[in-house]
Amino acid sequence: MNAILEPVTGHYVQLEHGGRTCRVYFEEAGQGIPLLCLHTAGADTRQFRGLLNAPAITDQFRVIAFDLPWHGKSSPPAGWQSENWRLTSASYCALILSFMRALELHKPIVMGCSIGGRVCLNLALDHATQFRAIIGLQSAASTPRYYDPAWLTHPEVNGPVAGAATVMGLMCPDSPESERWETLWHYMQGGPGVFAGDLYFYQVEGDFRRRVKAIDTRITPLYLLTGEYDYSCSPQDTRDTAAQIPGARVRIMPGLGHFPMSENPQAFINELLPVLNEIAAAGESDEPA
Amino acid sequence: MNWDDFIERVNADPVIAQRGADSSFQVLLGIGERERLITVYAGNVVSVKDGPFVMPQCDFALIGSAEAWTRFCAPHPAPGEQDIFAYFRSKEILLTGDTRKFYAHLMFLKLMLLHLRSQA
Repeated sequence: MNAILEPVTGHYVQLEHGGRTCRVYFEEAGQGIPLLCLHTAGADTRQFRGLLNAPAITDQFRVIAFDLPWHGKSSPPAGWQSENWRLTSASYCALILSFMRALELHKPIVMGCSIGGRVCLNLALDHATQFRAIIGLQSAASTPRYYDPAWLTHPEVNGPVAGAATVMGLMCPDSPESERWETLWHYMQGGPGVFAGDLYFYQVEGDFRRRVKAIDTRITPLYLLTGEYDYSCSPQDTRDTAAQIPGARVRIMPGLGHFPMSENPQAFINELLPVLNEIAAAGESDEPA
Repeated sequence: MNWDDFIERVNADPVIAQRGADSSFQVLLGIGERERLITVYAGNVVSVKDGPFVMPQCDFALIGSAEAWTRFCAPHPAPGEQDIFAYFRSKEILLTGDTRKFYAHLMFLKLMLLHLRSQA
């Protein structure tokens, strides 16, 4: 076969969540220490296509990424037509832990971006022992509301296109054009109201400013990596959060914005590899206890 | 701000031609003491009028200091200053008017505003 076949495999797993069955799609590649990746609001696992195809990562790490229910190729549960997606801290953590149990992932590194970066703080607070290390990308304890996502569900607004337009300037202008527009394509394919439902967690409910000081990085190392062009979770927002968490390690990534793994995969991998190597070198067993 | 051949450059942009097709709106830019009224019809900029205006007809307005617009329009804006939403967060540029129409035409608007950026 002459075609380029990517080493990425996709599967569906059925998760029980909130008393209902969710058909959840995930992709993985590589072997070694599990690296569980969490996508941004209104997007899906394709944001991690660069990592999934990078031998420098997959030679040593089993990269796994799943689409939240209602996102990407994960369906909403039966009965969705009479409700709206609304992400909360509790439901987000429950989904992540449920996915880990389903795949029998023992102490993965978890790495999430934006809403995924936010929930990493929640995981560090309440579930730290279940992770080998926690990496928050574009992560801060809160984000001020400077726009109202309710407009993205207005019947006279094309929500997915307006959602893409909303986030397009969050990327570094110098990131490769093809990767930036690939990132926007994911937003243009989002389901109705899904991006806004995620932002309920990001802008309203998931505010950890009063709690982050309780994170104990002696239990699990916490890394916070933020692209310098992000004005939603700015470098200063990340520094302000880290200042409350003894032992949190901050890395500001030059030339990257709010979607580092998707807007410029290679540049992000160059930033991430030293962190992953440090975690791997720390030597914690990834064998089941 | 680069107004040289602005209409021609925007209307020749192949991305705007596809992603902003059929957009129609009027936006007033408040740039310090100056005002500019941009009219877009059926996916093309049809006019840019220089103020001052008295009760201008527009769908929405973006009002900011000349200094804020200068930073936005720099050839390579500083990190975190590359998008009008960044200035919404810092309250250096304010949106007024019909927010529905702003969102409905946001893709065209943002792509169009990039043409105000000076050449490096």
